[in-house]
Amino acid sequence: MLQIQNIRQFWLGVLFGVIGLIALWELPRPIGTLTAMGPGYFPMLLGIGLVLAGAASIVIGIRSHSHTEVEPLSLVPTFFIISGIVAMALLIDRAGLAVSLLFMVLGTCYDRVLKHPIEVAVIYIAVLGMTWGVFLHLIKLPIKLFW
Amino acid sequence: MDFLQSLLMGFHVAMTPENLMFCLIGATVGTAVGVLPGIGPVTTIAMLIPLTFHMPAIGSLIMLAGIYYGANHAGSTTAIMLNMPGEPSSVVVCLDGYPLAKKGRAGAALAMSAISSFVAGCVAFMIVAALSPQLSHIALAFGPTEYFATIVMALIMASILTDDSLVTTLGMCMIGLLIGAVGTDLTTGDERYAFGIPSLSDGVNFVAVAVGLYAFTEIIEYSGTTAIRQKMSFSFRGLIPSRDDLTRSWKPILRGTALGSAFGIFPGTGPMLSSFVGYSMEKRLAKDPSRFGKGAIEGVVGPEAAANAAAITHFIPMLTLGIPAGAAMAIMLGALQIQGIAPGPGVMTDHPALFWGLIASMWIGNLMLLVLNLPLIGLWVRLLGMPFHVLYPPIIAFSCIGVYSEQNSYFDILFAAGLGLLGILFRILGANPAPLILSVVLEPLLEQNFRRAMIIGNGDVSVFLKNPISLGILLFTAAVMIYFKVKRKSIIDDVVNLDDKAREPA
Repeated sequence: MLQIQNIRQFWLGVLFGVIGLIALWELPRPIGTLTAMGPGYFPMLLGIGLVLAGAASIVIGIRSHSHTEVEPLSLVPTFFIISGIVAMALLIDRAGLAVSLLFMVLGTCYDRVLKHPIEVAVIYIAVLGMTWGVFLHLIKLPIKLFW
Repeated sequence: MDFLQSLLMGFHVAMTPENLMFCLIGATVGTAVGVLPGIGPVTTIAMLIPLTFHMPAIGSLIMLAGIYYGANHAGSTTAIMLNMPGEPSSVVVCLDGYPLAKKGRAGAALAMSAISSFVAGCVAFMIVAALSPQLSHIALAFGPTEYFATIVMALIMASILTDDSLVTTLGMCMIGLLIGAVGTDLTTGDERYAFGIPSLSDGVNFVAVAVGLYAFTEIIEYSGTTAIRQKMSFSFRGLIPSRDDLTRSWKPILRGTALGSAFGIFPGTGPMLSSFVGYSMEKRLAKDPSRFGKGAIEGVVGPEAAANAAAITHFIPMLTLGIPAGAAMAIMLGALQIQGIAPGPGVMTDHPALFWGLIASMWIGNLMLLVLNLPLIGLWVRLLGMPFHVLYPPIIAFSCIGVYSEQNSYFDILFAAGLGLLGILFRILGANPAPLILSVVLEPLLEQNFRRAMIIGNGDVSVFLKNPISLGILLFTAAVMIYFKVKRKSIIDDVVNLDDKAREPA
């Protein structure tokens, strides 16, 4: 059975290959020639280069003598922090700074909301105060505080 | 205008109350993030770029530069006091700085570290001031083939001393170039990879890329970490170094300064590489190498001088060629572009006040760091006690609003979140995102020069090898890469072989 020694290099190769193929699939047209390049010529070179780098990386991963493992992904913090950021993005125009920040702080402090709710509330108020002071009051960005 | 007159004008610009304040803010924020592990200068600069939209160009650049060299300077404080490097370039300072602290000589180690940084900073400042105008003139004569070769050098050399293979570096560069290619093609006016999203038709928001790949990724990575409440287990017997310290240190300081100044000029070989090579060099030159790892002052001052000198001369390729030498420089270049200033040799001629004001501010900033670091040492160490979960919400809030404010587009925050996930994937797979960031910034310059070179060369790709300057640059890049790939193990061995001894519990 095929044994992959350098798992990191192998999966990095897969990632490069996939991104390269997407770049080639969505290639802007026209492509043009070396002396009269169209919008797609340079991306085409990059797409081909990425597929080749991906293939080389996969081969290195399989044939490598050094054994490496992939570091485990901390799924829970990744999910909550990214969810908090996404919620802030989706709410900032519709619900204003105060509500969008609330969801972001809840996402970022996911592990303390139930155990230390007062602390999280203080963090939220402090962050709201800071961002209101700097971005709305000082710089006067066109962001609503409330909806 | 001659050199001294220009420098005088620079000091005149840098010493206005407003610019002095920006310099102090930069140096203070840089010192704070340099002390805190997990929040680096790249993240901080990316996060604060949006604040600079409403600041004068010179003030914003002085502040961002202060953050960069301030962080590099301060990373060694925690390395000496707590055996905990604040910045990657301070890793080697732990090896002898912490044993010195355990012997009750933390004050002397900190003082010598600050003095070596200051001396290196002053010399590097003079090198930047003297060399930049000459290089700017040379750069004006650069054609597309020379520029293309220099950009390739910057991208390839970004991986020196990292674990990344050349294939990984090239792959990361190509992903960055693809991200940089998104938006309207500058030559034909056609849209590329915009997928009908209005925010993408003008190109990707560079702040979103930097925030996603650095700020969000670092926060997710450190989110499980609690505060560092380590206490100093030794006495603090004053900051005056002994005569022996000074005698042993002056040569390593000069050697480190020369090494770091030279390394900093070349794209890719920044403070971290300089500090590693500086330590390795001092150990090899020492009469008694067995002292290293047990509290040799040469092991503190040599790498510290090398790292700080490199941090300052790192500005040369950005200011003269418009080619950033590392991730932090790439973000600063982005800040320069946002201010409407086209980076490159024209900065010195078109914006002399900005150019010389920034250079002069580096010397002033170094002086401020000397004052900030030594008397306030207790404050910086106490900062380490701040729980990480308190720091992260404001960092994310500032980052998100900053990303949003550039185009008032919530899509940019979503884009940054997506890149945050990609950044996490890269960390898991052990790929350094620095070449990617550099590539995003350099894509327009690389593509335009490639196009021009191909038109001049009539489609002959060997034009890069026929031009003696571009051939020289490419051969130099290959030689440096081969040298460091071969020597990498012995340089790291000099550090790692001591690492376990130096990392004894407090």
